[in-house]
Amino acid sequence: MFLSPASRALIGTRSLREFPWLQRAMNWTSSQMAQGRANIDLLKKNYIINGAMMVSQQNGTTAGTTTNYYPVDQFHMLISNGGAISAAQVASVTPSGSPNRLRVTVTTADAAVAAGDYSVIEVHLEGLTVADLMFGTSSAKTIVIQFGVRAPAGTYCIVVGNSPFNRSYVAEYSIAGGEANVDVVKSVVIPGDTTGTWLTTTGIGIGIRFGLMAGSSLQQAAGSWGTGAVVGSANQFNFMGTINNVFELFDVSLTEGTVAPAFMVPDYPSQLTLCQRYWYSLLGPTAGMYIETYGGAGTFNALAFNHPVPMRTAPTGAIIGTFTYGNCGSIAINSTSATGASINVTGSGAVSRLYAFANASSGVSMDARML
Amino acid sequence: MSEYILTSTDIVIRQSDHAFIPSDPANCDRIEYDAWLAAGGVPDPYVRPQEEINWEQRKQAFDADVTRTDLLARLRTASPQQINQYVDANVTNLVEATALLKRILLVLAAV
Repeated sequence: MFLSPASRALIGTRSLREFPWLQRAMNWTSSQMAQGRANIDLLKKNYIINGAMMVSQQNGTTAGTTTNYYPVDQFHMLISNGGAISAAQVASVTPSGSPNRLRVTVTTADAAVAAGDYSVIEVHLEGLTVADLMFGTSSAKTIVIQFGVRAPAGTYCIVVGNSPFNRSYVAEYSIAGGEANVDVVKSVVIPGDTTGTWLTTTGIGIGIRFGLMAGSSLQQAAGSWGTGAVVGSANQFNFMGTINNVFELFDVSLTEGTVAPAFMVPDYPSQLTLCQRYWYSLLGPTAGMYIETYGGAGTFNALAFNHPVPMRTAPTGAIIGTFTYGNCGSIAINSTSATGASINVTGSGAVSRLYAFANASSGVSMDARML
Repeated sequence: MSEYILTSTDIVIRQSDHAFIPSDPANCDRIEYDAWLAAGGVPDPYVRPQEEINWEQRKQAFDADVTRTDLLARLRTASPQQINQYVDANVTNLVEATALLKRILLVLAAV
């Protein structure tokens, strides 16, 4: 048995055989195990990427108002109702010490919730990442979702579902009057689903929805697995009901078991790398991206590059901002794969040398997210 | 204008944001495109870049150049003495010599 220096100091030179309890399996409860882990700063795997909301590659702190908008990496908005919101990463220290949180603000209220109305913050976890939770099998593990929240008083819902959302579980949590609009930590426990199809591939393994509004046709009773593509229960508070309502989400974790460990802010570089598996951009100062080839007339592959990390799938490429062209009129993304991409230039033939360089804050982006 | 436009490769461009969508069944944009196709959507055909069209036009004009064709035929059948005579008769200064050399190089490159 390997012993830490502290344990060895405690035992001294005596034989381990004199301490049989050290080698005996303990029948601790989940809470006791959680406390034990906390005592020695040992935490369980958090399946949520960017749960500390520190990475916001695409939009920085710019607020967005549309559905599918990513205020921070991994977390996107799903919106369809008569109101309007703005969602953004904000600099506001959380109880665990993260410098950032996700803030949603109602800019146009919608007090009359129509049957198909919804407003949700959604997260998709890749199947490869959550395969060991064994959802869809008899060995499915119980999970606990813990998060920090600052919101108006009311009952809110979290929904966990599979890829097509034909398996879903609604869990409710409450913000009491005394907790309204102050930082609180909440958690919900969800038993693993033993049926249904849950992807363990590069597709969506688990989808999580933090409900803000749920129309009647998108509701399901809380506390058991169902088959609806829902966003909450009938008890979901209508966060959209009052202008200037603010909902802040931070310190989000999903761990196996029934008791969540205290949230630990992960190191930023690791989170950035994980996020780049799904989206990244190559932007920079003027000529930060420089493309050059010789050929004169025709279309030529002028630049090939590897992604910072292998991406989930071949990404969708986009050209961001503006380029300055020399002897060619345009560039185009020629191909993408999970490991790299290439860019073409098309020349007119008047001059052999063809080049294009990105202007400030311009370049390309690669998108392999799971919308 | 259709929502999508084809390219010279298997990439499809979404015209609303000019996103280049690869042919990968796991790519979410491709899944969306495939569903759009299955629902009866028809993408716009590939349009060659103007630069390529301009070049093709210039190449056609070059191929149709009677003077060039004539020169090529004469070069193919001429003896070294005949080429010397041609140069002596047609080149009287450096500018004309440069032009003739360029022309011969172009013809040889096209052979």
